[in-house]
Amino acid sequence: MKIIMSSIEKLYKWSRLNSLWPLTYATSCCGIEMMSVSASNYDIARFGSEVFRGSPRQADLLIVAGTLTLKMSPILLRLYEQMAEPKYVIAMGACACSGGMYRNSSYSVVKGVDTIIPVDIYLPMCPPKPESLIDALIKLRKKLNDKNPGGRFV
Amino acid sequence: MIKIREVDLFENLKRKFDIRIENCPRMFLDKGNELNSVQKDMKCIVKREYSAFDEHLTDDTELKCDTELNHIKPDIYLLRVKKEDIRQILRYLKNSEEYFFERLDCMVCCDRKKDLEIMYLLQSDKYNVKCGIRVEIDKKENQIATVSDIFSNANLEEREIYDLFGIKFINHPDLKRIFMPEDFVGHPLRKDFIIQRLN
Repeated sequence: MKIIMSSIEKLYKWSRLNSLWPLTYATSCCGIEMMSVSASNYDIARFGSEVFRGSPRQADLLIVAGTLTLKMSPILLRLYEQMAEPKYVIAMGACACSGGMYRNSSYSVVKGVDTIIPVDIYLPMCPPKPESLIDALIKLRKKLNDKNPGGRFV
Repeated sequence: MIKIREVDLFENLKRKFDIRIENCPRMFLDKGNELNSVQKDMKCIVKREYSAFDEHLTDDTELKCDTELNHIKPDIYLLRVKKEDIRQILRYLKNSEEYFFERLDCMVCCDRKKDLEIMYLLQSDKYNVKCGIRVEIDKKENQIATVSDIFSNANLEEREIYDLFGIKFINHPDLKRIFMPEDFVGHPLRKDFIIQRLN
């Protein structure tokens, strides 16, 4: 019985890692890089993440691409809460990681999305190159593979 | 050479209201160009101002400039008016046939520490003239009459100024925040607004 369960777990893990569907969420220039990742030159479909879903119910991965303003923050929180477990978050770009250049002098920008939602992978650049977003995705897959995070359906 | 003729555009307005003209546009015309009647009326062609503008101007360069600047170079009139007259003046400038400032380009607000200042930028499409009208607002009083019934796009501009500077517009139909969240405290573009720093 144990052997069967563990092999089923492996199957679940394999299928989950190869179908991390991101949510279509982009607020500024990082969104352009995210678009080019999904296009043919960089082709995120090689990792099974090419399906950008329009609904948070169908998405596994939230890529927070771009500056998060104060007025947008309750909407992001609501999107995150609407996503089904297991859900993962990549903070893409310097603004999403820490506030970036708005950190010290802005009245309207949230200083890092981790003040609102938990973040798995930080990807600080302004904006990150498409290769680095792929790198962040691979790192996330490694993290999930190593630690075996508890999903509800395992 | 160039015909020089100066017309005080706001002569009639000066008679009616208490205004002060702060800036007058410089316009240059090619000598080959004939002016139409409207341009002749609206003109202040100032070669003398232009020579004050550039000290090294000789006759030759002047001729060169004349041929290059064969279009009217628009600049802006700046008027300073009193706060009580602002609605009447804007309505007069919009409706009277000598100005036709039919379009409100934008409203600019500035915190000058001792007081606040709003500038209404008006555009006359018929005569191709721009005009900025400046109003000072006392910080204690902190309110001014709305012009959103005269220029309807002033509705959103006034909401923006209320959001960022906290100036109240009397009789505005829907005065609430437009950029910041509803529960935000303070008006962020004021000089005395303190930004919360994390480190």
